[in-house]
Amino acid sequence: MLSCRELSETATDYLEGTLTLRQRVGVKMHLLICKHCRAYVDQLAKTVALLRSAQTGQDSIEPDPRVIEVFRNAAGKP
Amino acid sequence: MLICLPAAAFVTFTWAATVTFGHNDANGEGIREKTASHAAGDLGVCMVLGVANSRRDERALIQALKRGDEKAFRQLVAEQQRSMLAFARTFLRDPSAAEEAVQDTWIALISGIAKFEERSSLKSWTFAVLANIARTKAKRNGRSVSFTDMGYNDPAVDPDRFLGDGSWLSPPGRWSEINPERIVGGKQLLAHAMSILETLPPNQRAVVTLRDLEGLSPEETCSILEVSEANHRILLHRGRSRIRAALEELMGNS
Repeated sequence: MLSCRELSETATDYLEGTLTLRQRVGVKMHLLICKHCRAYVDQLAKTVALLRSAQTGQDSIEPDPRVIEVFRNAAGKP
Repeated sequence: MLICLPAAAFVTFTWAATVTFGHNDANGEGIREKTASHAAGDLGVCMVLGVANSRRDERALIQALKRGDEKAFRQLVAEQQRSMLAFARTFLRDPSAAEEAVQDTWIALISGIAKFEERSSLKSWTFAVLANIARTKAKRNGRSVSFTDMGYNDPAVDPDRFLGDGSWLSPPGRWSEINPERIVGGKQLLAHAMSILETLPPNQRAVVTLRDLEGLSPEETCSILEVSEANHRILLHRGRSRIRAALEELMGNS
């Protein structure tokens, strides 16, 4: 039977869906009866969701002038 | 498989093989909960939708770049440069070397865009080129950040939190829905997560960046970072776990 500590190490594999069927069933059975591990896996899932909510740069970063120069020179060439 | 459950417990299986269940615990309270596999399913759906929309946008962007549309290029730089810089920093300690690597990547993109066949996404291609440039630079400078060794061995959860038999000694609490902008202990949750990300070992940082911030697939990530699927998952777990632990600490385990 999977211990809580063992489960904490496989939680990402579980969320990623990379466990074997047998392993997945073992995890699900454990989660069924262990509210602490349910809380842990839920925290990990929410951490991932938080990271994914990060909007990649709506920055006002200007390209390096040298790079713009290269871009303009390349434009229109086949 | 025969499953013996207390009389008050019930289990339903949906076609997608997620499990929802409810049971009355020893105190007789009714608890209806979803397993995290359901949460993962929700994440999966969001990711698929996000990718579909962005692929359409990306095709339009690629066409604009091929046409020499400078506005489109400036837009791309504004969106991508900051995370490219952070990613380059996982290979190169020196900030100006990382900056150079990013600029060289833009130049490589400009010369390569005409022939870009869209077999991969523009983003994964860009990060692949950046990784190669940064890796080469790091080797040449002789100051490469060790990418292979560190970051594999720390346990996901502090061992002190478990008893000898592996059960929880100090278990984690329940989090309500996380609003990224929510402020706890004077810190905005998303900003705090990002600052912890900065402190991760470079290889963990790189994997979490590509997978969770940039939304690249496991295959793309492994190819760009030249790590095996199994190792990338270890690094992903370690990195995510550290951030989880930091958030838990901030939220006072409540």
